[in-house]
Amino acid sequence: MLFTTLEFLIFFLIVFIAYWFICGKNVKIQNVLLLLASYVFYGIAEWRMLPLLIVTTIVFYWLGLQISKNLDNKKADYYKVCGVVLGVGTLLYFKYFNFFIQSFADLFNAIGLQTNLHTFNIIMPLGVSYFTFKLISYVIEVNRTKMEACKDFVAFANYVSFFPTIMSGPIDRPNGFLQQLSLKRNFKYSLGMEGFQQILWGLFKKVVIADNLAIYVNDIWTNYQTASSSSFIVAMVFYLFQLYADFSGYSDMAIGIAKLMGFKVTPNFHYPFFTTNIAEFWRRWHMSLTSWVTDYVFTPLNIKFRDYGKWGIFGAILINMVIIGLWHGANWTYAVFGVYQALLYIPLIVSGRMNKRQKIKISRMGLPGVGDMIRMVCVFLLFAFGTVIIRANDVPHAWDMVCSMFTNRLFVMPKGTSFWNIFFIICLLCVEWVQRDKEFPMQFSEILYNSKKGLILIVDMILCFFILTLGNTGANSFIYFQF
Amino acid sequence: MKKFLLFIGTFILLYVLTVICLRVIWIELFPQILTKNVIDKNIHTIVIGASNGETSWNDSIIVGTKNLAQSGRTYMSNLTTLRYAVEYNECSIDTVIVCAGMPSFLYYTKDIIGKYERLISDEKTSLLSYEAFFNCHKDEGLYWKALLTQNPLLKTSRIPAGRFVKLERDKLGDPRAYESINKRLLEFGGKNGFTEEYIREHCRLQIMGLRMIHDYCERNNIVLILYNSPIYKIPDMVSDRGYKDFIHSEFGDSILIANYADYQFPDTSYYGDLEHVNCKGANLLSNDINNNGLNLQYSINYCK
Repeated sequence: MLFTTLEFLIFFLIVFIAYWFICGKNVKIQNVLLLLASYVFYGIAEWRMLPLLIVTTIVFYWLGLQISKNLDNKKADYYKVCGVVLGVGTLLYFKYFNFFIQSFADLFNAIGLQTNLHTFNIIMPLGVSYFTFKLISYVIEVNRTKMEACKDFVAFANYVSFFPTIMSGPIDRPNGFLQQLSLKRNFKYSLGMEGFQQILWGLFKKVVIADNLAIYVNDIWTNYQTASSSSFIVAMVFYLFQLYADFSGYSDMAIGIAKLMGFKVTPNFHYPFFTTNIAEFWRRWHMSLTSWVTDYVFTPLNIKFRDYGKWGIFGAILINMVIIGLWHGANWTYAVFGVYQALLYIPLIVSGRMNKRQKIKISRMGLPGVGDMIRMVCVFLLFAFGTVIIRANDVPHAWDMVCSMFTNRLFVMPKGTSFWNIFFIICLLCVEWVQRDKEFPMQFSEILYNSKKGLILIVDMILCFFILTLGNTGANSFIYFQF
Repeated sequence: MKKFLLFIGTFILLYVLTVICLRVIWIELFPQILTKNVIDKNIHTIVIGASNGETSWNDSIIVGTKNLAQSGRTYMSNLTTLRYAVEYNECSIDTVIVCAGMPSFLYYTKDIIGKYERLISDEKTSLLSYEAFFNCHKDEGLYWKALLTQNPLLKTSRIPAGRFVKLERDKLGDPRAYESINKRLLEFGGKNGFTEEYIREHCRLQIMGLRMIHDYCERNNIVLILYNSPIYKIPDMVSDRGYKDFIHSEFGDSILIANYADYQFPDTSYYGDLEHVNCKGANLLSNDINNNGLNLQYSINYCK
């Protein structure tokens, strides 16, 4: 049940009405309803994996309580390790088991040893990469005494399986979200309006930008051997825009839906294309994942490797990036993508500008300076180049694709694309640039929500017009569902 | 909450109004304006259909006729053309000639619903593009069903419809390889060829379209003629018997047939390919029709 479908709209309307009008007075009943809705939502998508979700939730709830009880002795660490191993183990089994088996078999075959290893027909649970990370962060945070163990099972289960975020994040941290679940929720007009605007903006990005770009991108990438290098480079650039519009569109819809239910969820993107170095880019791209890996992997490793100076930092970044890469999928291409991203950090590590926050100089026309503009384009292209690797089926395929980018057909006219694709990319960049200090571009101030409803309606109708007339509403799945 | 619901209510109301306005503008107003009086007042006969009609009927020779056939057209879009031609033009059309025959009927028919759906979902459409104005198949239930399941609300496709094409095609040259068409027919028809059952199973939209054209003509007192254009050679292994069976059982003897499938040209230079005559062939045939009238039958030499 995709957010872009009529089925979801009906499902959400039922939940929304029941949540605010029937259960609105009692937070506990609201939470029960929310949990039921989340399980129904997940069950419709993949009912066979619903027991796994429920069982892991029960186990981690119990582990949290045990850690909390034993904080004054070593048992807490033991339970935490159990939790981390269980979380990582679940992820490894369902997502990477076959990958490892296949990799071992390939390795043995390469050195001339015959193996009898077989892969299994394992169904990957939807959203497993997201909910296991939530569970792991919960036991770590409780163990670090940054929060108390949750004693309300329904609230905890809601944190794990909250329907707007279960499939593709954002990966919320337990502290803030569990607190929201315990407080009485009143419908706030400004938050509701913000949510509605964000859903509409996300829908626009998904069906108008991402799904239309997908047609050109899929065509070129499927036929990359016959397409000209210039077309391939255009497809590479479009793919990054597609990826961004697709995933940030999904995130916007998820966050917007959560806001309509009275929750504030961690943002996932913050205008990543307006960054002048790769570190800043990653701080603004899939923020909930990068901050998770930074907190639980990079920071501990960085402390551990600090005696090794810049090599230590690079080592920590390398491991960090390979984990981020592999999180996206069980394929060596993702590991290579991680290594490639880590290599992009080298100039920053060498120059000692790793943690320096960027400051973009704005010209009198309100645009970034030429130097910053060039840096932004460079960061964009370097990242876009990396997406070629993750798009490939395997490493040799990735290499083949990269080679096909640099042929003597690099300077021929690329294959034409729809005017609308270019138009909407420019619109996206312009609107995002102008509104870059906001959480999302369609966010207005509370005063505007109250006094300029007509203006907001006009903006919404324009978005709707484009969604209706130019949107590719063929219920295309979201790219990040596969991760 | 009240304020928010009021906003959403206003939004939905505006949304519905916008959808209605767009539908009125795009589906009713523009087609009427753009198709009004395109056909001369002295035209009484129109030709609709696919490429077989497009290439064989020279309406500058056959007096009083207008060729509106177009390559790749199915009967559904032909119905739209017919409706606009009849309803938005001052001429009084009393005869409609529909290209039929096995090739024009069957080549587009296998998985025709899939073909439509693909066009609807894959082709990126623009309501602002000219041809989209004509995608107004509002009275074809199955077509709309296919359309709506893929694309709710205002989604349209780039199926060319209602574009009035005058026959100018001149495809000289040797007929294409006999084997290639044989192969193509095999792909469509399978081992048993085109039986009536096969046609009924695979050509549901085409059948529905043809039936709708038939009913439309009946309602408007228009004479309907099924026209088979000359074919160089029907591959031996694929009989057109299935097609004949189908036409007979679907329409009985109530439909007029102008069968020129085995029309005798002096030599092969009158064909553009195996299925189409070229300009030379079209001129010869058109002169013949203009001088002698259509050779009409009430069945396709049917003999079960």
